[in-house]
Amino acid sequence: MKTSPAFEFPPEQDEALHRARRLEWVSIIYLISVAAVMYFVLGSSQAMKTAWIDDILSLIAPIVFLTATRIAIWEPDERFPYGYHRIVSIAFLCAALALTVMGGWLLSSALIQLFKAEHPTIGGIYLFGYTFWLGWLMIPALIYSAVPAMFLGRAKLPLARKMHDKVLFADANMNKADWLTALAALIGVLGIGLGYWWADAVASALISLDILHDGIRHLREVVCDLMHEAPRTVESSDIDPLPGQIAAYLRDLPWIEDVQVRMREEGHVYFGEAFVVLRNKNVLPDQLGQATQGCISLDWRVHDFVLVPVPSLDVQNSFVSGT
Amino acid sequence: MPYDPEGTLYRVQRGVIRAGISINPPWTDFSNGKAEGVEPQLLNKFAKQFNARIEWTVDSESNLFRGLKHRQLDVIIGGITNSTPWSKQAALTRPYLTFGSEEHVIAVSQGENRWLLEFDRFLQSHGMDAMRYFEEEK
Repeated sequence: MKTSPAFEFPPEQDEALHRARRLEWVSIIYLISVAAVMYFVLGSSQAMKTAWIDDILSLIAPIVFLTATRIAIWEPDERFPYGYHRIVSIAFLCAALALTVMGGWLLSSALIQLFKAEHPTIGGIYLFGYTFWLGWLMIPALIYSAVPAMFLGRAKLPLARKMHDKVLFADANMNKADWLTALAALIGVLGIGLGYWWADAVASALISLDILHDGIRHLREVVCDLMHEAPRTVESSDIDPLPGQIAAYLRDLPWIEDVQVRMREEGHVYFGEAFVVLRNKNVLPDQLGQATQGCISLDWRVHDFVLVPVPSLDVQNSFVSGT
Repeated sequence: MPYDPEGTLYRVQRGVIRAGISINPPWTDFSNGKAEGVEPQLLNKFAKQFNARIEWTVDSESNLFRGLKHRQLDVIIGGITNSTPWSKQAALTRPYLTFGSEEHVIAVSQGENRWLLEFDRFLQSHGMDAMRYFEEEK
């Protein structure tokens, strides 16, 4: 059986993958330490609890990335002739679903607390022979949960672009935005300290809205991916120009009269077909093979490409690149 | 910081502490018409710090916790441990006496964080008194 090519990344992307994997391991260890620190200073502040759950949820993306990048590079076999690339999208779908559900649940808890006018209690903690307000300890814990995350996010972002990895990109952006969560929780805690009981519920609602927003955004994106939307660049909603470039390359060949290209994303890489109308009917299989190779060598993301000679193009399909 | 959203500490200073007591010797007793036991002694001492008078309400634990929740009471005593099923209705102090897994606490109104912190500080510095009262009551 014909399977798709085995390799995933060229050397430059491979190196980015190694660095990204190392950063994600660092992220996991860091996030576990954050979750532990936060747990000890939670009190009964809903904002702190929400920030804490946010930190735990942040663990999902690195875990998804580490498992998915391991599985995605498995070689295609008889059972999975197209390879394992889409495991990345499926894992991302699960992560987005988790964010959406938790965000919704946390938002409703915050609103219920606000509606019932529940007053959050933060008591004393006994440390070094002195009893002081636990709220004071929450402040350094929140700073610890935000500042290293920002640096991690900043380091991951260029790697995500290089690898065309949407999980890593989403993770990097969430890390970078972590200071917003910490700031909201901080304002909630200070609000409690100043005697405004509602500050806690409002801060918690804002954090959960952010989680919910992330979840829904990622959900929409990954569902579109799984539905084989035309490839888009990692960081914007622009359609990737690559299919158009391939169509232009093929049309420049002297023996090709017209062409239509369609491509789909499979995790990091693209699969696609070009339907070509031949100028003369004496084209050799070698020429077709070389043209296919030419398309694949245009960009590392063109992973598996098929050239199909056809008698005429379907003019109805004007949305396909190259018409 | 912290301040009380409902201003409990400010109100009780040179004023009245509305205390609920459910009978549970040796921690609390009211059989002689006045509050006695380990916890009333502690509470009296606490009230003296703020020149406050205590107004006692004797009732069952469930009624007292309802009163605390509706802010008709400021504090409840009655040999409460921090595994009390009412913990969601109240703010519990840090344990002032511990016997095995029984951690004895005082319940105050939820969200009154300065009020709670004053109790935490008082109980931390009067742990020895609590132990002595307990030995005497036995």
